[in-house]
This record gives sequence, structure tokens and C-alpha cells, in this order.
Amino acid sequence: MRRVFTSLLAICILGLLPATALAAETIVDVTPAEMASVIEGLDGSTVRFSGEVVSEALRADEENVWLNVLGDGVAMGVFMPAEYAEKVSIFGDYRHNGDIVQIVGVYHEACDEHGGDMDVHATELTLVSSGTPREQPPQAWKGVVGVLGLLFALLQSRRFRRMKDEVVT
Amino acid sequence: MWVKLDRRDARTIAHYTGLLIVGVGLAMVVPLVTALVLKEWDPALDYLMGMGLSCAAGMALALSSPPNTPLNRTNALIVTALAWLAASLAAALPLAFSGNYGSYLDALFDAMSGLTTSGLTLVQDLDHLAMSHNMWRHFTHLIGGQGIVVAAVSIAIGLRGGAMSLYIAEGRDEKILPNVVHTTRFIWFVTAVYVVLGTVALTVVNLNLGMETARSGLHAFWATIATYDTGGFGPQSMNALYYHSWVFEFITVILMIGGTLNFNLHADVWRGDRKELFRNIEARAWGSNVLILVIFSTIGLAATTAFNGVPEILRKGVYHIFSANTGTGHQTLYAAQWAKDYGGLAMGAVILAMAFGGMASSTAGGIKALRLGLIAKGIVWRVRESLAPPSAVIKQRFHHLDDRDLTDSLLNSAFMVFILYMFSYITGGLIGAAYGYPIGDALFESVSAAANVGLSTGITNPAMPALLKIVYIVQMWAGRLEFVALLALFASLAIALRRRRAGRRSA
Repeated sequence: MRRVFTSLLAICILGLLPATALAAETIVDVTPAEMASVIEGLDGSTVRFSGEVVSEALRADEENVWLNVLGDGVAMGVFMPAEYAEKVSIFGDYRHNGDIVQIVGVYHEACDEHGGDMDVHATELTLVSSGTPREQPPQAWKGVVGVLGLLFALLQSRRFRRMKDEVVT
Repeated sequence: MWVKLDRRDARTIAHYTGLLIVGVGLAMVVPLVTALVLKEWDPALDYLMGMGLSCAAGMALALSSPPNTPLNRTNALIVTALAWLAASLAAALPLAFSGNYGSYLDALFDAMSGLTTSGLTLVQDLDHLAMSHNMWRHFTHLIGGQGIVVAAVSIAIGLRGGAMSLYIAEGRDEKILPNVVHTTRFIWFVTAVYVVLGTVALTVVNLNLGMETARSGLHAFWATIATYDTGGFGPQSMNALYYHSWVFEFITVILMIGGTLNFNLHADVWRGDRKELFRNIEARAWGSNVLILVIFSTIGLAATTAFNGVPEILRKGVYHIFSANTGTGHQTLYAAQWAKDYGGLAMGAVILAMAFGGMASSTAGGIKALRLGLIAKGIVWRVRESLAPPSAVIKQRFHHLDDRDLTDSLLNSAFMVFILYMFSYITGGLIGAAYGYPIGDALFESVSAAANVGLSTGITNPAMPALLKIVYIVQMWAGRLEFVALLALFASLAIALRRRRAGRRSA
């Protein structure tokens, strides 16, 4: 009996080892743009990618949220437990470059759980770097051109009104 | 005989075009206030500059002729055609200085796309675009969706002399109320009802998604006007996919239907005559189109097996058929998925949906259901005539607001517009193909531009060839005007050039 048990245990360990090794190997490094371009055979794979978190975390259900992660000019929806998203403090928008995160998760070309949308279900989120403010200094010359243009239009409109009065009389 | 324009005509055209440019300049107060409230100082200066330049140029043109100069039909057609280009040139100014466009041509592309409610975009880094710039992009849908002339007439910016001529030249034939100003105000009233209801509903959705209050309201307002005016711009690069919400998709489909409904039908429903919806040839043709194309799309999606299960197939199929047919252009797919996941039959159904278009006298583009209905009736008419004895007089009747006889003139007009659209679709597709894009993708993009839809297979991007950008700009412009006004403009220019050349030779 003991010999049978040991043999079964050995088979299990030997069986699991390659599976674990294979799982570690099948993490595919991609970018959101590559995922959006629908790579053959990627559907259902575990992927790893980095990108900037933009805009906000959107509530998916009681326990999960959506983060939209931007990389190479393409944003990808990432579904994850809400606690993962708590690591993100700065979201990308007009005033900020958002936090850069690395996501590991399962890529779905057409997710059955989410109405056929392309998405990634995250199993891991790592904060790579914090977001930074974006400098957008106002360019005064634009204001000068604008004010001059409006003044010119105002003067012209007075002439226009005079013409209108002449037509009436 | 060709009508030759003289110097006085040119001045009259410049006068009215100038007034419309002033109108676009004044409309920039909306994004300017948005920028000031949100403390987006550099974008605020973009709009101050845009207002200044537009109003100055507009007033200079307006002074070329006295106020209230009468406007004849030919001049009205030319003003209308020019107005869309001039308005786009003005509307592009603040966008070009935003730093989110590769060139002025790209900004002009977006301005034309916004005003013609197309929705194709060349904006870069949209997820970091200022809220005020997003306000302007979406606001162009509202101005253009109602019609630039409708917008201008309703705020009475001095177009009295030519209001009616311009109104008809813009391709609108609603005579809901006896006076054109009252009619345009009714159009705005219907729009306001949809915009308020849509904004409230989508704000609730956005708040439920956890968006911050001000952003919820702004996103809801933008999505509502982009959908009701069948535009298709979105404030995020993922477009409708950003929200990950079937409720969002459901509400936007309702708004798309509202946007594609003929304003005369809106008026009938408003007056309590709901039967008109079921008797009207246009409503019937539109309903049949959508139903048949949804069936094709569903079969096509089921065949590709990319989407599993009926709810998934229906959600993707129905949303994109409505989005395409109403000319809205919101999409919940990435560009590459059209060819790879959507597949041949479903993609073909979407191309046909875009090409056919929604209803006349609405914000939708394309050939229009009324013309398709008339052409179908015309075919039946001809078959009946061929089967009848030679002495028999066969009449074909149809119901559009009232019972009418189908005439050769009506049928010819419907066929002419049908042929012009088909010519534009195919020509744009061939030009795209000549640049090396797959013919299916090129045709898809060309139909999307000419029918003012905005769905994209990815060809439309800042790196695309400049000539192709210009081709799509012309297609969006021509499609919005249903060709005639633009052809009148080109013909007038050609005649003027020929006369000038002849004058030089004789000198």
C-alpha cells in the first residue's frame, strides 16, 4: 500500500512539474497595440504588458473594477479585483501622465463574461512608476492674436450696423 | 444653360459665408467657458484665438455686400456648399493649436468630420486631450447635426434675407411649421428634449460606474450629442468600449434611433399621430433594412465563431448595425477585429448598413431609406407596367406624410443620388486600395466617410497618406450635402475659371 501511494505521489509530482514549468513559459509579453491587432493563437493566453492607467477605475461589479491601460497609443480594458486598482493613485488625463503598471492576466479576444468585448482579466498588477504632472504653460501670443481679431471684428460690426441702417433708411 | 455668376453674386456669396463663419466663431464661446471653468488656460487661449480669427475673417467677408441682400437659389446652393468648408476651416483653428494634431490638415479633417457628424478622427493622444477640446469636438456634432444653416437661422445671425433659400439648399425639406425660423426652433426643441433625457440617463450610468460627478455629466452630454446627432466622436480612445457597459450601449441605441428619425416623423409623433410611423414608406424601408441586416450580421458572426453564444452575437451585431445604419459610428470593437473577428458576411452587412443610411431630414447620412423605398416601389411599378396591357395606365402610390403618386421625376432624383453615393463609395475605395490597403478595408472606410458614419478599420489614422485624408474630407463634405450643392460649387468655379481664361485670351 505504501509503495503504491509513493508511486502515485511520484507520478503526480512528475506530472505537475512540467505543467508548472509550461505555465511559467506561456506568459506572453505583448503590448496593448499588439493585443488589439488580434494576434493568431493569443486568445486565452496569459499575457504580460505595461502601460499607463488612464482616466479612472470604473466599477464592474461589487468586487471588481475596470482599468483602462494605455500602451503604444492603444488602450486596453483590464478587469480586476478592486484591491488591485487601489495601488493606482494617479490616472492619466490632460493634467497628468498616469501611473505605469505591469499587468499579468488572461487575454480574451472576445470575452464571454463581458458581452464579447476584448479584454484582459488581471491576475497580478505591479506598480512600475508613479504618474507625473503634465506641464501645459499658456502661450500668451494666442491671446494677443485672439484679442486683436475680436477688436477688428468689433470695428467691422459697427460698419456693418451702419450699412444696415443705411439700407433701412 | 449654365447660370453664370457675376461680381455681385460673388459678393452676396461672400456676405452669407462670412456671417456663417462669424456664427462658428461665436459658438466657440462654449469651449472657451468650459476651459475657463476647468482652469485649462492654454486651451482657453486656443479658443480666444479661434474666436478672434473666425469673427475677424467672417466680418470682413460679410461686409462685401449690404445686410439682408436677397439670396437666389443658385447662390444659396453655393453658400451652403462653401459654408461647410469655411466652417470647418474656422472650427479647425483651436484644434490645430491644441498640440494633439499632427498638422492643420489633421485638425481640418476632424473639424469636417465633427461638423458633418461623421466621427472619423485623426486626433492623437485622445486620452490626454483637454476637456474643453473634447467639448468643442463634440459640440461640432451638435452644430453640424442640426445643420449649420439651421443653427445660424435659429439664432438669427442676420441671415434673414436668405434664410429660406439656404434652408432648402442645405438639403432640409421640413415644413413642420409655416415659418422657417419657427421650424428650425422646433428642430432645436426636439433635439433639446433628447439631449436632456440622454444626458440625465447616461449621467446616472456613469455615476454608477464610479465616475466623478462633473466628468459623469460631461461624458454623458458628449456621448448624447455624439449619438443623437449620429456623430460618433468619443472622449476616450476606446470610444464606446471604454464604458464596458451594456446599459450604456442600450441607451445609445435608443438615441441613435431618435437621431435617425425624420424630423417630420418626430413632429407627427409629437402631435400624437403614431400611426404615421407604421404607414410611412421611409420608416418601413428603414425598419426592413435594419431587420434584414441584423439577420445577415447575426448569421455572419455565428459563422466566424469568434463570439460565443446568442447574447454576445446579438449585442455585437445589433449595436454595430444600428451604429452603421444611423450613421453614428460608435464602436465596441478594435479596428483589426472587423476583418478578423467580424468576418466577411457580417462586415458586408455593416458596409451595406452604412451605405444605405438612415432617414432623410435627420442627422443621419448615406443614401437614405426614403430613396431606397422609392427605388423599390419604382421597380415594382416598372414590373407592373411591363405585365399590363399597352393601353393601361399604371400608377404606383406611396405614403410619406401623405398619400402621393410615384412620378418619374421623384424616381430619377432618387436614382441620381443613389448613383452619386455609389460612385463616391467605389471611387474612395479604389483610391484606398491604390495606396495598398486591402480592398475590403478600403471600401469600408470609404463608405464610412461618404455616408458620414465614422466606423473605422484603422485606415484613418494620423500616419495615413495626406491625399487620402483629403479624399475622405471631400467625401464627408459631399456626403453631408448629398452631392448637388457641392457639384454646383465646382461647376460654378469651373465656369468662372473658363471665363477668366477666355477673357485673358481675348485681351
